[in-house]
Amino acid sequence: MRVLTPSPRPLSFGDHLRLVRAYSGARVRSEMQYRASFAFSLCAQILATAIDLVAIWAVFQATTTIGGWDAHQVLWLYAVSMSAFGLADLFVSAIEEIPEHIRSGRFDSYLLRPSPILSSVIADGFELRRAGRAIPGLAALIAMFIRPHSFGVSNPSTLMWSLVTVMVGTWLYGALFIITNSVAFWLIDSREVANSFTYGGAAASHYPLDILSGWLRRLYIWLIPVGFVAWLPGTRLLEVPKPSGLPSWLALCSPAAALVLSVLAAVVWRAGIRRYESTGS
Amino acid sequence: MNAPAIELNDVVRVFERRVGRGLHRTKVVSKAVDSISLTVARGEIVGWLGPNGAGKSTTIKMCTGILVPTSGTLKVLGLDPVAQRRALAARIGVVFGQRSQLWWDLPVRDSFELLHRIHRTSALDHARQRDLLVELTDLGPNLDVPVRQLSLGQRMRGELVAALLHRPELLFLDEPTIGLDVVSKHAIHNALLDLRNQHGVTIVLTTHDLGDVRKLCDRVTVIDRGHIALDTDLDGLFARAGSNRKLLVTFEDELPVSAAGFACPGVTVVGLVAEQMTLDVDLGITSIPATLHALGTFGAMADLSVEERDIEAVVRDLYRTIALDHPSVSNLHD
Repeated sequence: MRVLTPSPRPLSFGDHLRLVRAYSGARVRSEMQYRASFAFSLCAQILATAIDLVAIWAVFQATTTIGGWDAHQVLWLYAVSMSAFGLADLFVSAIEEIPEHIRSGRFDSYLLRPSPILSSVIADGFELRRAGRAIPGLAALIAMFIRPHSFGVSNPSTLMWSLVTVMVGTWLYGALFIITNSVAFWLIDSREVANSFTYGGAAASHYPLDILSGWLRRLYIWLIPVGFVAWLPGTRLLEVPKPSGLPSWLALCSPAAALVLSVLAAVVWRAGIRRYESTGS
Repeated sequence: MNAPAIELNDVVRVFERRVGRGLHRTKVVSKAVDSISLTVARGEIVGWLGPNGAGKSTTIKMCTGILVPTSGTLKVLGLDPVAQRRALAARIGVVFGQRSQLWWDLPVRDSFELLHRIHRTSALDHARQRDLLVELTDLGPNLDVPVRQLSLGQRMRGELVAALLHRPELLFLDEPTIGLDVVSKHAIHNALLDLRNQHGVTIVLTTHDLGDVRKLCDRVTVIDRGHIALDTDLDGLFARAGSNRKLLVTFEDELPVSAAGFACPGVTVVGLVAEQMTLDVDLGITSIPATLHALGTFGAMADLSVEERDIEAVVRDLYRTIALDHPSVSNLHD
């Protein structure tokens, strides 16, 4: 038109933040059009997530340790893995809308905009109600800073490393969300499969994986590596007796696992976009 | 700036589909676009016509970077749509008639605001362009209404504004007037003509509405089964109508059913209702007076009119000719 539009400059980190804020702000405003629905699902999610605490309490009425972990240490597992999963769920799980975007053809609109596709999809699907899943874990994390001993934490440095563990875990879960949901580019009805990996993996990671049989444990270390979120680093941070048959350096490998998953996520996502076939109009 | 708006060379897009169950599943390959080459010059308004499933939308999707072509080369505004997707997206606008780009639960104004942030246009420029487009499309009264409460016509005008906010040089419209009332169509036609005439925007539209074609297009490309069947200016399309006329005759008395079998070289009966008869007359073979003379056997006439064949008939004939010209293709398809 009147002025020649210049090619877009690459997005700086600030541009990225502004883009994400614009998208997610719009989504939250849409969400707030239905306030009752928002309040209800927020509360439901908090309750559903917090109920795991009751389960843990019930188990420890009958026994003093699970797989070598005492009640305090299992509480630590809960705080760390729930926070990591809750944060990833809040910030990344909007990617779960990908199958619907593909089915309805809405995915086209993201390709027609001059912004990075993955962050657009994720930010456009941001829902504040998902905070319900993060709140119990984060509350436990705050409690840990107030009363470390109730969580089996005996010194400040362990407290700091616990925070790092949460961040690495969030990153790892985020990558897992992207990989499993990218499958939708090949299989349109893949949401349940994706859920069994992400939510199923999350459910497993709240407990010491020592209690699982050998092959299941290997599955959660090598294939759906949620063992790296809290359990493996926990064995080292809380000095829990190491599970037999596993090398001790594995407890330090969480960042490496997150990195490997991220690379995989980037590869799968890019292949998916090229494979995208849109829908007839 | 001198590159053509669109340049396609032997572009092919293949879709693979699996049919059957279990062990009997086989791969079926279909060519939605089969070696299309075409050029669209800057400032042109081109209509891409063709039956459903002809490959029009697939071609648009390749031009906009949504679909990766299977083979061939294409350049849009001198860019490779897939490799330079973001740079291209900043310079083109796209409207899909059956798909919304707006945010369903937000007022139209908020959608525009969000697009302004996504495109990172300057606030002043955005406001100026938005006001201009809102005026052009007569959308003013609906700016604060959530998109889900708009009528189809209002929403389409909103879509058009949304696609143009970042001042694209090239606009793709996939069935922009589908399902619209006359007033909304008129508003969209005028806005599009203004954009081209005042701002030099190149426009490519697919449509089944020949009113769109007549009102807007400089040129039409008829696509059929992934091939280009015809590429001509609007006069050329009308010339295809040839020397045929539509002859409408009303007799004083009701016609016998046997009148439908009226045969005369160059004349075909296309309609027969009570005392009214519609005929297609090829003036290359016979004449109107001769036809009327032959029709005298059915008694006295009360009224008659001669019309040029409408563009609908031209395109219908064209599609029919295509089917005759490519029997092998049509067999493959059926």
